[in-house]
Amino acid sequence: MKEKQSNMKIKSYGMSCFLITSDDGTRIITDPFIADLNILYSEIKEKADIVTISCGHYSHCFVCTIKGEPYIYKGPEPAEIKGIKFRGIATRHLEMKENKPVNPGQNVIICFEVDGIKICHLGALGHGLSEEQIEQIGEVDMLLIPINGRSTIPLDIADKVITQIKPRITFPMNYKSERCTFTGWASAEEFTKGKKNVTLMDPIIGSSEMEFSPETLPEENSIIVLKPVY
Amino acid sequence: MKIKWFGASSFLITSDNGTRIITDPYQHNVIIENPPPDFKDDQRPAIDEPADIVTLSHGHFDHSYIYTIPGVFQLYQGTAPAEIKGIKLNGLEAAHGDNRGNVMVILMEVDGIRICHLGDLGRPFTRRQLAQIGRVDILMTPWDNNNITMTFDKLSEVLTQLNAKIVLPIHHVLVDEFITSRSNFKKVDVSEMEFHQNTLPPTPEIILMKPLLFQGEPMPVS
Repeated sequence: MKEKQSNMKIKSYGMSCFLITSDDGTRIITDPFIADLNILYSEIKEKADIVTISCGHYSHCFVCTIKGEPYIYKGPEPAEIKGIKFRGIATRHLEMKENKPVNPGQNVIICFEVDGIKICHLGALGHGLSEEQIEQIGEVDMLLIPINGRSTIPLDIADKVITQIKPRITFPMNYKSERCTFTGWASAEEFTKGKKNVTLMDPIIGSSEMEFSPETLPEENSIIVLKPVY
Repeated sequence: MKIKWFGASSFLITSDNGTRIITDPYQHNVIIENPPPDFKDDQRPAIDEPADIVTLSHGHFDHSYIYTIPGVFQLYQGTAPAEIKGIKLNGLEAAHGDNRGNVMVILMEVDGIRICHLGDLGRPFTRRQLAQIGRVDILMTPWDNNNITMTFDKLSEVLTQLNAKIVLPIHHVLVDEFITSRSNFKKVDVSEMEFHQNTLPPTPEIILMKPLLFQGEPMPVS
């Protein structure tokens, strides 16, 4: 008889915030945000065991709505929490100054493995990646990549980063939508346009959560836009 | 155990065996996308000391900026009783001043000393709340004399209600005759003090520490 596959789940809450649940129920929340004038998604009110934070903007580090007594991982120093090994790669985030991109602050790319699936959350990455950084990131199954072009890398650099990292599944994040109304941000549709293997969830009835196991990962990079929970 | 005041509502509490608890870390700079119009950009040094536990009373900027605290730590927001690294923690939901939502009054027991951090509490406690709080040895209370937390008449009532042996004024700390005229008030020139269960003062003392990271007098945050 075939052994039961161990499945992890990933659920989108909008912005850069996901809830990743391991097969044994460990709950990891990435980059919880504060809702404001331009961020109309519902703040995440889930219980977490671990919260990862990529940068010091309140759209990435607002932990106050989260339930439970989670451990906070910000890296870049590696740490093992609840049996999950986390690594961070120090990078810079992006801001626009007089319409020119600048990289004023710290961003941390966070890599960890859940049930055999290697996850890489790029946070508010604001620049392309060097060969050395790509090497530090290592093998990636599931890539969570920002695309907005105003507070994170733009579409062309995102495409390049995906080519460099070679994930099996890519979830774009931090994009413009009905619920995220920043001026000049790229949308998920702009990102997926012309690409192969795209699943764009219906904004009303589409899935917010998917389940994966190492056995069921696609061979070729598959781009999935989940419908955020709100 | 030791208590160090960073300023505003933020302390580092270090237990005898070295467990470190930071309360209400404030935001040292403004890097939010849409700051509200009344948001003051008071630059001050960041809290950059490691902790095992960080407690938050509520989600306002001057009480909940965990980003600058290095290392891995556990978050405690008072929603259920917990024991983390030998520290017993509990929270009690109460009203923020000025109808600004709720705060969690954070209760913790460190080396036998019961500490109560009021966050931005806006009004005196009900009898039921007092029963839930129980004995308080060290009280950390806003001392602002405004509606955002408590005016001094409300604060007086809370001081009487809790009858703590040590009172540490926090948040904006208005220093006037309301505090200086008290015979049990002392201002100390240090940012860290040591306390022991057996040597807590027999009569209550109000101690204004020197905030470690703020220039001069404690200053308004928000």
